[in-house]
Amino acid sequence: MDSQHPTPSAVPGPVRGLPPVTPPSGRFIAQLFLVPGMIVLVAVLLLLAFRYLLGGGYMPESFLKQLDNENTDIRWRGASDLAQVLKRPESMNLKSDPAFALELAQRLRAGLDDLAEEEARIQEKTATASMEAKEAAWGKPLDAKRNYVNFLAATMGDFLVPVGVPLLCEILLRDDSPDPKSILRRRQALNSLISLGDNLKAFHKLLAPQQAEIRELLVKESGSTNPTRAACARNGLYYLDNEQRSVAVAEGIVKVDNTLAKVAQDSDQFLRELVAFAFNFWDGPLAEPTLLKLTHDRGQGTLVRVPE
Amino acid sequence: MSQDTGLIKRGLFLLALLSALATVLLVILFQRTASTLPASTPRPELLAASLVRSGTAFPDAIAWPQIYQIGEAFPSPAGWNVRYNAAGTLARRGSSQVPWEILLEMLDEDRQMHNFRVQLQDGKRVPDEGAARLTMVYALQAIAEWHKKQSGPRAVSPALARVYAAVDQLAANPVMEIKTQVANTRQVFFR
Repeated sequence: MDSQHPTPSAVPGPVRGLPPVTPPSGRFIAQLFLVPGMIVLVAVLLLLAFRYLLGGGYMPESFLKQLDNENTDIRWRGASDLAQVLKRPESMNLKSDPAFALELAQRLRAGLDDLAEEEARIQEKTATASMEAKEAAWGKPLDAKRNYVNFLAATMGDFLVPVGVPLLCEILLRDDSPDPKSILRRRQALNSLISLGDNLKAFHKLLAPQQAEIRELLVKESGSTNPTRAACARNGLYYLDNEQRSVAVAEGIVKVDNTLAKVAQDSDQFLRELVAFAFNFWDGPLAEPTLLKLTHDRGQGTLVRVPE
Repeated sequence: MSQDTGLIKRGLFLLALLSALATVLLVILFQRTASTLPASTPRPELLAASLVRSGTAFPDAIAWPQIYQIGEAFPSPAGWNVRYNAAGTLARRGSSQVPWEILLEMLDEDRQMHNFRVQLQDGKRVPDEGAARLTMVYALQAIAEWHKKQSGPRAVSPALARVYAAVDQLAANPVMEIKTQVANTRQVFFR
């Protein structure tokens, strides 16, 4: 036996049946993330292309179609999408589309009438009912109609074209609603009016041809046979152009400063607080006298707090 | 053997990286919990009890010097949020009838700490420092806006001089947001 040769068991070598252990290479780690990433990217692109080809996306027609759908889920999904899209800065075309704003205003008009009818019906039905029955009747059953009107009122404030002014002022001035939650709707309307006032600045930053196109469409719509559409278009036109305000008051123009002055006398403290803020964005002969009155406010009336 | 060494080295490196990350996270968490809560002041209505001295007849029965002190401890009279907004809006519009005394009140940090209160989970009521300072910044911005909208004679009325003095005092405020706004507002003063 040759003692110079080591025995087979002493020789270090790979264990039979197992591959050699090697540290993962940079390429391997990149592949680990890159390949799934590419798969996800392709899937997302396909989804976007599919959505684009189907004509969905964020077109006014598709939103209106969804809002008019009989299916509540589809309606609310459309409302949710619209509320989010309108808030985005890149949705400038949608926000400055007067025809779309007028379509929504028409729906708000219908929603308000429907809600008023329902309120009258509940009031009549619960005239002699117990407190519990009244609470039940004014609670959940009315929520769908309330939320729809609140959503549309909020949407009006997102547009650059102030066609929602007459309807928002109407909501604000309706302080005799039997609905215990109507104060929240009035606050929402005032918030929208504030946004509208602020958005007017953005309108004047649009390109001149785009501004002219919007005005042209509003002029055309102000002669519409639909009274809501015509009134909203006239108000939109009136508040878009500072020069036109000095012209004799056209029929059907709702003066925002008049509305705010009336709301400044409301018993709800929060509404008065918002009125004082709203005059940062709206002007008129009653603005300064109303503000001066509010500087002497003594906190009278009520303050309904909504838990966050 | 060299292959094993590579694995161990990378493993140790990852372990060290994770430890560093965990340490940073813990430090952030620790700092958050350590942040001091706003000092809670006693309920002002309880201070009223200290006004009455028993065993003596009127007028000695009332601790007159403490009346002013108690007045300072109370929040502004009801409706202050409406008045603040109205005064701020008048100033922003450049009105000639700005109620400067309301804007002065808005710049009073102690008063705002009494006005804006928030209830903690344990029921304790503490000043809402963020809201209080936001009101001060809003007032400072409104004062600056008013100055920018003045095109007539640049006279400083006694009421406006008091506002200038209050803004000057705020220049030493440790809060950066207020300090910056004070500097911006002072730039447009008529002096």
